[in-house]
Amino acid sequence: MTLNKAVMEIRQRIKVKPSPTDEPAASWTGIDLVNGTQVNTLTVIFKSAGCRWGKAGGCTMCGYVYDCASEPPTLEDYKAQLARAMKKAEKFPEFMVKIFTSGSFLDELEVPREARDVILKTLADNPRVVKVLVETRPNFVTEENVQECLEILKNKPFELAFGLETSSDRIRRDSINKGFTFEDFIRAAETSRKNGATVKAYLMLKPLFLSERQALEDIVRSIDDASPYADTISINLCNVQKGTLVEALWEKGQYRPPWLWSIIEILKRAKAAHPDLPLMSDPVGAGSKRGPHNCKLCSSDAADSLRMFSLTQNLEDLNKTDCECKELWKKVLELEDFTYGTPILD
Amino acid sequence: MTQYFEIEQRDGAARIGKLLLSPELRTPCILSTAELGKLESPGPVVDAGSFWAVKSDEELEGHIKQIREKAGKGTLIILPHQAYPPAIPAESLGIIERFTASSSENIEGPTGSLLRVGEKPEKTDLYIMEGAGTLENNARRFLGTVIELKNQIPPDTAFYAPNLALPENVAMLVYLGIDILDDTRAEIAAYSDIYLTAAGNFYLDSLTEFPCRCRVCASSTPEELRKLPKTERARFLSVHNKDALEAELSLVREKIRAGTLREYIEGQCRVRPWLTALLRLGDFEYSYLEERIPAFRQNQLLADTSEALSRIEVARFARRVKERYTPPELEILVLFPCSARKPYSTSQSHQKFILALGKYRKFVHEVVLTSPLGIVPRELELTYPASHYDTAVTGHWDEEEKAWVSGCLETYLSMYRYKAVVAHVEGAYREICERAASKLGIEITYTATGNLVSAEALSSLRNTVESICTAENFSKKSLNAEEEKKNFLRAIAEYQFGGEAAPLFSEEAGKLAVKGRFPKYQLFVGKKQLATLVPQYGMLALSLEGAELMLKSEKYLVKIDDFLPRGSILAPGVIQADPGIRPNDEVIVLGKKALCVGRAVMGGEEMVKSSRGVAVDVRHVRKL
Repeated sequence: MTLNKAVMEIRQRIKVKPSPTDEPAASWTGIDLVNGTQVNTLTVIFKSAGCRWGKAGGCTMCGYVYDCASEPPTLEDYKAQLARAMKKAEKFPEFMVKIFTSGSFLDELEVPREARDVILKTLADNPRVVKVLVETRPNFVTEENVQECLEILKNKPFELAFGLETSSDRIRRDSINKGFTFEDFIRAAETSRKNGATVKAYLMLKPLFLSERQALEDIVRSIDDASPYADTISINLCNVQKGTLVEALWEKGQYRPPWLWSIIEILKRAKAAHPDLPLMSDPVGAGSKRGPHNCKLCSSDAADSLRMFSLTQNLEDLNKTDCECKELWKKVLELEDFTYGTPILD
Repeated sequence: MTQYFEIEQRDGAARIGKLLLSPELRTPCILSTAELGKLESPGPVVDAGSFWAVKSDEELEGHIKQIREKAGKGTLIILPHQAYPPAIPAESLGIIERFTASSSENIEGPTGSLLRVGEKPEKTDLYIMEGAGTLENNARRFLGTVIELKNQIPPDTAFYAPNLALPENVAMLVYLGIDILDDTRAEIAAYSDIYLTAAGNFYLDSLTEFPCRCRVCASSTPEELRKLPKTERARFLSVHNKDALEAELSLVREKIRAGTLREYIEGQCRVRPWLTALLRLGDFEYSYLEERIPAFRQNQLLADTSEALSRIEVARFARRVKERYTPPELEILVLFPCSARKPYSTSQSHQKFILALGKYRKFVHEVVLTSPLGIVPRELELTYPASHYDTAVTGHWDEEEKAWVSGCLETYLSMYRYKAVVAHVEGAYREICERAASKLGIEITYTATGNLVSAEALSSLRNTVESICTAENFSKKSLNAEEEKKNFLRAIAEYQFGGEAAPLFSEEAGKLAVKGRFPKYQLFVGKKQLATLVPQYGMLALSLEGAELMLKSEKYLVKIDDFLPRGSILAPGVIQADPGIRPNDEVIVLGKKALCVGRAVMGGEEMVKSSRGVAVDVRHVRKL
């Protein structure tokens, strides 16, 4: 089966707005855990020619496809995008740079090789940059391009990030429409590591159609499955992005973003099982209707505890929030497996 | 087709049945959703698991084996599934992986499957309406989906709408043909501090007193309850909410047994607009309900809401008067208003009208105007529901009623031209006549203003009719007493069987005679009795001789297998049946070994498609 048709219909309805190609889609600074210590980060979302998988339909939850440039950016544009973003890190004595393109940084048809090289070279030449992370779909990873990147980076720590989403091929195919398999991820991860890069796996809590419990168990299982291949695992909490199949269902009351209790439970269980594996989750949009949420009273506290845990890896941080709505969440876990195509809304 | 579900009683699309599990479940019923997950100690219905839980076929098959070993065939197993919400159309899913057991022994016994629009149903005992709960508040889509799915599955299988039931909506859901519901919504409401009643939902915060005296509500107050910790509060509300659901469902089952579910939902549906919309849409859609509504009911039909005008029994009566009934060849039409007492002719007012017409009565055809039935020809005044309805009388007619009745009259008058139309009516009835007359450009003579039974009005009626009858150009077409009785039975037969009733009145086999005093008429040809009028519901019961005459048309005919029936005919014995047969219709049964007459217990379609249950109650059998 394929959901691509349904996704494609939505994609065709939404147009990418013309915007300057010399500015990144977004950039911001934050703090990440690198080798057990907290490090400043600069995240840059480049406007690229766009995710090729996404343009052909793509993933059911992904609204980033609309972040691409209306015209493919030139080499100068890429330089300008990076320069603009780097200004935000001016004051950091040292920092890590995380590069996203809303697609695959290593897809040469999306980000031209010259642009890739110029970006990496700029970062290599900046002594304040201590680590570089780039995101890509696994099928674009080759022995050669990992080696090339490392060479340009002059062996600065280099991490490849993959949107694995789940270790279940069924869910990745029938719910997310991701277009690659767990095997593809393993191959790319092994290739990366063999050549000296580290690996970060992004998982996705509660893609379409799964009950709260199925989603929770999926991530716990996926962490177990992915841990041998990943140096860090980050769990994204599905939120309702514009122009996605997720949004179309959510608008009809046929999707509810995950509970924050679920990710708290996942992290508790997974951290106990993998004490040395850095686990993190940035609860984007937490507390809003479109984002992961508990009740109105506790969502922001729960989100804070998640952010804290992501930096400390201390399970105590996850025990700080409690709320009456946790009982409702438990009931949802108990019942939602048996609602047959209707999420439990609250 | 199922050995595990049996329907015992029907009221339109609603039905009472039982799921033959351990324990046996009386339907319509509420499943405990949490119990569906108990693989270890299976109850009557258990879910074997979802593909979304990333289980392999082997694992899922293992579940099924385990359930069967523990619970035998007393547990219905919901087969492994991969559910999608309805916003994902079947065509964009392509072919979804389906559970296929490697050995069929494992899934022997009762099973349930997910049912999705646009997909061919698997053979199973219980069908789950996928995404049912998401269609709450979307009356059109919900009804369309229910009808589409119900038309795809055998009538004798159970139909389950998950994650939807609330005390406020179970009556409507059952009315539309849903057999199984669950307590998901009631539980979630309890854990959200929402207190449920058949009259709608209340936030615990806003309650001053509990509008319920169930075991838990009687023991506390909202104020006390609000002080309890969350878990205790939720447990309390959970008990009440589930009790409220069960109580409402018990009431609904009683309403089905009494044949009065329609009257109940006409009132109860006002709680939510989508429920009221479902009531109306069900009537507009017509055929889904019409196929299931009995030809007559034992109980009174209460027509107290505006939707009573579109109620299937009412709409069907009007349609049959229009499509099946033909009036006698008389040239004078007299229109009367209805009376509270039924049949109309036994009321004081109609007795006076009839007396006033006196010897001229044989020249006139009488038609009664009434809301909600529209027009009732005198011959059909006994026929269900003409003699069986009651309505709130205020003297005020609303626009809809006037439009409906004048529409019926207009149609009738445009089909049949009379030399003279006399209306002995006043008030709104007169307005109705005037509307129809002006639309058609015909003249109606009004014989009264104000009190219709005053000496003045009655003599005006008599004088008017008399002067028409004594006019020079009057044809003197009339019905004598014997013809009048024959016409009476012919009209009922046409209403009941349509044009196919003609052979009963052909006189080919001999001279026709009607014996018995009104209303216990019997139709004879020579010495052979063909039919009897059953006064309780104003329809004919056929004799075997009457059935023989009607056989040729194949209407109202049930063909059975090669056996000699005793008592009742079960659905598996039915080979073919006229799809026009409705529950309670008089039917003819024919097989190689027997000719019978009897009363249908289910509709014609259902007789053919069912593998369980009584199809026909047989009254007379002749061995062939």
